Amino acid sequence: MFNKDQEGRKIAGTVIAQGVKVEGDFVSDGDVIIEGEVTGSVKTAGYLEVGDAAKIKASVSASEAVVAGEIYGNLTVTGKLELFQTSRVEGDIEVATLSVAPGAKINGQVTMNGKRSTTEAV
Amino acid sequence: MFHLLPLLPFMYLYVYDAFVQDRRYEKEIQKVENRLTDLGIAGKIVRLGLFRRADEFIRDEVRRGGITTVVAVGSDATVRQVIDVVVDTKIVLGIIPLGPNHRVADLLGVPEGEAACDILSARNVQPIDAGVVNSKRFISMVSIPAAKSEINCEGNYRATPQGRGTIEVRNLYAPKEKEEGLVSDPTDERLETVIQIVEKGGRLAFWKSARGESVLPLKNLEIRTQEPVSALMDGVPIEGTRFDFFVEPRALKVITGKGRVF
Repeated sequence: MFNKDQEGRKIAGTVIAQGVKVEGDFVSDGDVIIEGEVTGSVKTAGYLEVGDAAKIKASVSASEAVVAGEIYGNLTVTGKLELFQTSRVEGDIEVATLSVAPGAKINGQVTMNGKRSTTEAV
Repeated sequence: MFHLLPLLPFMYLYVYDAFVQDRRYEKEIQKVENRLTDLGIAGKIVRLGLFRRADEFIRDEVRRGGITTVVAVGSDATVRQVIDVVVDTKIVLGIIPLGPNHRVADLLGVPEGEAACDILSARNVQPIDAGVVNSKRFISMVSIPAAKSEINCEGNYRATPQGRGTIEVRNLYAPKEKEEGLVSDPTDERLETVIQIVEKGGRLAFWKSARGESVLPLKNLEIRTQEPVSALMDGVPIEGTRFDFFVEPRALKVITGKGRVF
């Protein structure tokens, strides 16, 4: 997901790895990978990847997202959201396009194109 | 009636670090000086010593007028000695790397010794960001050894390594040959803060390739360590428990070679 320079080397984006805890209002204008713990809010104008070990207790918004970890809070994605089988979302989801793998857990309301449906333990 | 005005050339001030005045560098210095003369860019020479500070001398020379370029002859530590005054006086920085520890020159694409003279002569000047820590500037990075620490990021959020973590705050960086890692671009107006956690046994924990590292691109940050540590700023030690960083966008004009990493 990282941008690359002319020689194909990776240019730094944002990564919160396992073993790092973030508290507060996290804002980014680029792509973000979260493998650690975040409390507060997460907002990115770019792509968000939530790894299977990640635990987020925050409201989250991104343009696109792939989630394999746990999110306790509302999730807003303006583009496509993919929930992997290890994912768990305890909160409302607002999204344009949604892909849910078997085994993924959602406890909250899902709104797509302004239409709301209540979903539990998919 | 025509007036033939003399062309105003670039005026160079060469700052020789104390260690390059050692006899073992005599031949290399001679080659450098000959090449500079051949290229028509020889200039005034300042030789640093125990009691001679580079910044005062450069300020005096700039005040007298004429100096457009300061060239640090030596290592990363030599560059560190001139960078503050170069930025303050808005003149151009060149480097002639000699001896060990010249990572900054490598990243800027400047080869060692005599070959650096041709890079100076070509004069490809690039404006780059300067990193600032505790009011001192750096070009490449500040490396803070493993310690219990906390990072306040742009006043918005706090990042806490769960354990002892090494922290590098990078402005200009690229992994060495055969090493994995991310490039830090010194024109992006950000400092990449890279955190690696140290395991109990003391070994660095690399979970999944580069993902074992946390990377936070920031405009300003504050790092607090629980105990005093000796950090390295472009290879030069600075000590303390509190390190306040910010980036000065495009504050430094530097002569670069084709092999630069950005």
